[in-house]
Amino acid sequence: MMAELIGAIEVWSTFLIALIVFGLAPGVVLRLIVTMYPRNDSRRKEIVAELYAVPRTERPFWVVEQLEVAVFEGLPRRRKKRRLKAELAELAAEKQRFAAELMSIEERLKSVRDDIDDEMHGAGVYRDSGDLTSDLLWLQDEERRVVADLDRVNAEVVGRVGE
Amino acid sequence: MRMTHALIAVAIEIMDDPTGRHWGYALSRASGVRSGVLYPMLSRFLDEGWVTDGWEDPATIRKKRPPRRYYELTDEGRRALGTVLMEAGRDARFGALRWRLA
Repeated sequence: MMAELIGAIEVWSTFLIALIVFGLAPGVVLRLIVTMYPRNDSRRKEIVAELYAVPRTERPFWVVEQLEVAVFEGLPRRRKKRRLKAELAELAAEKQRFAAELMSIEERLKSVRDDIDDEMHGAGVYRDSGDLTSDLLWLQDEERRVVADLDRVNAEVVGRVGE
Repeated sequence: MRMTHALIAVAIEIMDDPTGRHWGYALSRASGVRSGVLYPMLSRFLDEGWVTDGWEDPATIRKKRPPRRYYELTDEGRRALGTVLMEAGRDARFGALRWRLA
């Protein structure tokens, strides 16, 4: 009687282990493995969907194989994405700084042009006209430099996003 | 792309049905190439424009499972993999694959 009971327990525990190893575990472990890929990476969905094409008896071994794929493909992609995100944030900050600089230059340009207008119409001379002209030329140069910097940053953003 | 046994084995399988849809696991099994090598290779094929990918239409799936991703050869891919196989046929290093190349 006892031997039969122990035998039954062994059969049940074997059945339970088989159920876990071939039924439940592969799916759960695979879903954990694919988290090594970046969030929206299509490989995540692809590998999980492929599991259903693998015969049940092969699934545990196939899942372990996917660990290799995820380590050598998923982790580098994740690192690359993180680096790209940091670079884009840096470029966005740079862009903002240049935009603010450009706005300030434009304000100063407007003020110098107003001064020149005033001087031409005799509304009042505040500064030497030579100074005003050199200020105007310098500000126009600055404006061109900042616009070129902004274009460079924009091109860099487009290039990084396209990678 | 570097000529390797894995590349040639995959090229043979894909070129066996150059207009069909190819699936990751099936390709891995048929070519004998581990998924650790196959998936990065398929990514390079995609980058090179040799294959395009797509997802199974969920409406056509009878069993309860997610849609699978498939790969289809492009014209450029057919030309490129054709060249790979031609070169492999002449290369002594790939003698073991010759019967499959024939």
